[in-house]
Amino acid sequence: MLPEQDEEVDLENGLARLTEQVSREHERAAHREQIIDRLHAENQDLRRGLLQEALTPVRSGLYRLYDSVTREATRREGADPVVPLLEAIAEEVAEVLARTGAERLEVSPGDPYDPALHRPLRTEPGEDGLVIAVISDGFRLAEQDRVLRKAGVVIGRNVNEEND
Amino acid sequence: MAVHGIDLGTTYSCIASVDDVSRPTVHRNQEDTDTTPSVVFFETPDNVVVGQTAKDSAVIEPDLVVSRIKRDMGHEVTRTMHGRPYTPEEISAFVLRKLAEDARTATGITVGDVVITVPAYFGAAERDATRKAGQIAGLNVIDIISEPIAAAITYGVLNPGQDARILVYDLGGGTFDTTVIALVDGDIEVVCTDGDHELGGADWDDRLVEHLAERFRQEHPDVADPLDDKQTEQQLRRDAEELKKTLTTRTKHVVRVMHEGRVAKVEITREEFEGLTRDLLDRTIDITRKTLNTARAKGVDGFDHLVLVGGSAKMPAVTEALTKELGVAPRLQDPDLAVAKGAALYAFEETYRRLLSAGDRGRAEEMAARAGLSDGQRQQIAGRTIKTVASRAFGIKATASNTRREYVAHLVNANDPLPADVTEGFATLDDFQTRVAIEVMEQAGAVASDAIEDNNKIAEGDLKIPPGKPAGFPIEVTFSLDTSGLLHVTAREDESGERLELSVRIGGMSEEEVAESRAALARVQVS
Repeated sequence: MLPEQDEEVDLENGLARLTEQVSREHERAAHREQIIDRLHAENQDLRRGLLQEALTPVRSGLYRLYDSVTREATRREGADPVVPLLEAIAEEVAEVLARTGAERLEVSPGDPYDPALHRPLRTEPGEDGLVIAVISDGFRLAEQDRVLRKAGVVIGRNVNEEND
Repeated sequence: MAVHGIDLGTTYSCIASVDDVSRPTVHRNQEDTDTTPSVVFFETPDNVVVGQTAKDSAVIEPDLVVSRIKRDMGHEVTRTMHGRPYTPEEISAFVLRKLAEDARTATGITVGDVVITVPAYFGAAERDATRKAGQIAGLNVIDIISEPIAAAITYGVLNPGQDARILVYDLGGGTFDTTVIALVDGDIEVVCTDGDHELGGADWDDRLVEHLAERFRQEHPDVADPLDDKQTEQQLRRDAEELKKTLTTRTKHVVRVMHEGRVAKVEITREEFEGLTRDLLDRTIDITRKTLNTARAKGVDGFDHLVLVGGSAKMPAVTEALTKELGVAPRLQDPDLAVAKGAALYAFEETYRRLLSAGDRGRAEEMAARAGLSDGQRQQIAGRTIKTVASRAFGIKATASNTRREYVAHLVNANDPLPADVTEGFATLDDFQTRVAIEVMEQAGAVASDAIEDNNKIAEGDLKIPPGKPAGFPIEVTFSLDTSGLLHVTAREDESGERLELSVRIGGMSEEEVAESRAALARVQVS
């Protein structure tokens, strides 16, 4: 065999080995990508607080229950014997919520309107910029000092100032 | 500085960037949600609130709250707040500033270079207005891309070296869009797009609210209508949203409608829900079919991938109906964030490509290395380009010499590749004309038409004609439309060399106005 042919065979063999190696590397890289995808998704969940995320639907169900019972208690006259029972149920629900970390916001009529805590539902004639009535309670995540649900409130609107 | 992708939506917006393992990641806002309502509240002359709080504030200050500003993009309408008129660009800029500010708070990285997405049907004016909104917000807008293209990038179906035809079905909260995209020899192009901008997930919710209320009315005809009570109505709306979500994973669910101390227990199955909303889904299917027919007429026969975008596309009925109708199983992954993520991927890629083509290989490779890209991935990215096409037709008003009918002669047609440079010959209509009025027209509707009423006049000017010329004196008109949507029109007659030059800043605000408003609004606090 001529020396050039020798070299050619060597090159061909080398190339075949390289191709094989590259394709193995490629497979491994693809596998790594899959793992990174999975870890990335998990990491995203963890960053967002897996536990808090899992509690969200539970809390939203409890808010609904709390709202319905509170509303019904308010709707009935004070003398109705069912009222104390409904109020007690609402309190219990609020306690369950508190155990998930969601504590009731202290909001009462006369508070100045604070968009971070209050969600205005409507305005009524009254002292401008003050909370006139609390329609639904708000909740905050105590440990992170973050509002989970704003309190639904009625805001006062000084009718005379309307035209300024 | 990281590059970001922004989905600037009609009702909600979202920002994302590519992280250190080359995955697109959405940055949550300060309220800890992935998407921010595109609502702006002009609280005081120096303080603007954007997002959920702005949305809530509409109850007390409806006149100071602006929503759905995207619908006004590219139109010259202003809203006056505290005595200052604001353009749609400026109002959108506040939304962009909130997104950028919150992303900086979340990651500690200042948002600088961005890619913003727009609907595929957005014309040059709307795209330019969107770009300017970004500039006013102090961002460096490296590109504006179509939402369906961004989504297709997220789905990983746009790979150079692999021609593909993609159908994108986008059912959002208040809008529906369907688009056919083609990838040919590495060039990405929107083949056609259609939709219904009054149809969205909210319509599905409405049906459920009405159903729940009706069941209550049937059971308790003696009490007041639950929909007449604002609080009950809001509760029903929340219940309907929950119910819709629950029915994507479960086949039936019970809602107890409580009102005036009465309860109606309403059990609803997935089939019932689908029955209640069948006609809405059918409308989207009809439009999708129409879009495919349009694509076929343009030589794109069929499609290889079907991708779903928009939160409402999660409803199982959507996948079922599309599979049945089109015989292809659609892809569905993170549909509500797909557009922002695709914009982030594109922003990243485009920056890499620009560094490469500017000869800055060092920085390009550093950027790729930081995102952990392999050589193969780098090559793939380097080869991908989006072909920019004119999204609508442009022309001039002409009069037919025989019938004297006025019509629009189109020089640039929708889907013509940009930059476009077109010259056409015209002639005077009457003997001894001293001037020719050049009226530049832009297609107004979804389909090009030569009827005057289907076009908007976007510029006009007079070309002087030498005295004593008979009818039929030749003039030439040239349209140059560049990729950023700047239209330059030249009309000339060769005898005296008289020329008329018109530069149409499609988009309304000039560069000077943009710079001014950027400086003026920088003083306004956005939260």
